[in-house]
Amino acid sequence: MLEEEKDLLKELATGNKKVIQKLYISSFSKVVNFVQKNNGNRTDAEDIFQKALLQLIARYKVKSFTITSTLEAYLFGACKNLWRRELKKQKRMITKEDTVELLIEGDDMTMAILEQEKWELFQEKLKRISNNCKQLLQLFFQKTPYKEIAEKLGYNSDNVVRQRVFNCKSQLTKLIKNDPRYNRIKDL
Amino acid sequence: MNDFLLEIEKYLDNDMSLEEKETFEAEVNSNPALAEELKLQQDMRLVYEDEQWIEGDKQILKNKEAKSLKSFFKSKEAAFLKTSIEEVVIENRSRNKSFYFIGVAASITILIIISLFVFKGNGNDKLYTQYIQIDDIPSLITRGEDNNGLIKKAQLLFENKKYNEAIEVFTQYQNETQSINSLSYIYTGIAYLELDEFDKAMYQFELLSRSNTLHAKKANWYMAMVYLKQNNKQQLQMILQSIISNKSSFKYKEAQELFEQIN
Repeated sequence: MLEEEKDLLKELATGNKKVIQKLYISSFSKVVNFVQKNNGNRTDAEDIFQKALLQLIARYKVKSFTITSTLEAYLFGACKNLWRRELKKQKRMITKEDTVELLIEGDDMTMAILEQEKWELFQEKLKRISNNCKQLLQLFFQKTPYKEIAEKLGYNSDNVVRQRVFNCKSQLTKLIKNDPRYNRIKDL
Repeated sequence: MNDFLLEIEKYLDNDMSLEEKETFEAEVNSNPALAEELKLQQDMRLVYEDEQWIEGDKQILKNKEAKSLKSFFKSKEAAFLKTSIEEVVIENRSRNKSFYFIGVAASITILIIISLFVFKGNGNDKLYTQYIQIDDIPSLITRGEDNNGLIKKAQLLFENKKYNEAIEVFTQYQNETQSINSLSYIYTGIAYLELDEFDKAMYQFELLSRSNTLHAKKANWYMAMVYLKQNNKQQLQMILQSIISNKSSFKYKEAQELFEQIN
């Protein structure tokens, strides 16, 4: 983590309003844009932004979390995920997929952090595999038909693609499972 | 692991016969390693598909790591931090509002300047704006009565000039309600009028005139507003004359004034 980010994070964790304001200025408009484009309004964006900051502080204080990118990039990513999480919850309540259990706030924030950690682990590992594999798997996970993948990436047949996907996925799975964090989140 | 993976892929791709599927599911139930692998592959698909968030199993809240996070969120420190963050957000909210008002004020000034030039050629728009007097329409929301939720919502949308949405809610209200508040015809009519949907506006004022209520007498005036905005001088003159013919008419004075102005 950059020294500057480290200091910012440390100050943020004390509740320094100047730092909060700085982050508000640099990130909030992006968050509003994202939320508004995805069925939310400004109030939702404010709520998500506040949660993301508190989440970050909690991770820093309880888990000595460090950031690999800039604080702004991290924050925007966290907000996006929190909003997607919120949408999922809303959907579950509307469709009454299962009996809705409402968690108390602290429990819900805790779940959000653990889910975010799992997401980060998966994303990090995807970056580790070769570019070829990554490109292939991204198409695969976006449910592109094998035939189309073959055409796009210039493979001879569906079967070759199938085999390649399988190999790449094995590599990726291995990377995830070999990370010590996997054992902590595998029951999540 | 790779042996598992092939089977799992087939299962997740829905490439198994019913029989194979049953055998596989039975295997999952009796083999924790396979179950774990299946869950990982399912999660990978969901995470990388990037469509929806995967919610975790709440059982994990019982473990040690989760507990330390939970106790942080319960602490006074967390409460203090939460308040600080909230305060900054609220401060910015009001700051934005004042910026917003400055912006609005500026655009109004510009509009006025433009209107000085434009409205000279198109006097009717100016007259329409002058006479429609939206703020004078009695509120649909009455104190102490059991208010219909739709009405409230519709009026709010109307007040925020969201005419399309307001019309939608008013229409729903009119369709679903037995004794319709006749003011809703005025609101809906004006909403249509604001959108230049003259026929639909007219229809609402027709309904108003037939509504057998105190407000029915107001219909002529609002119809005049339609003709005014529509630039239909002949009809406008006629309806204004009929308003002026009776001193107790709604907006008698205004009708007289308007009649003089257009001639």
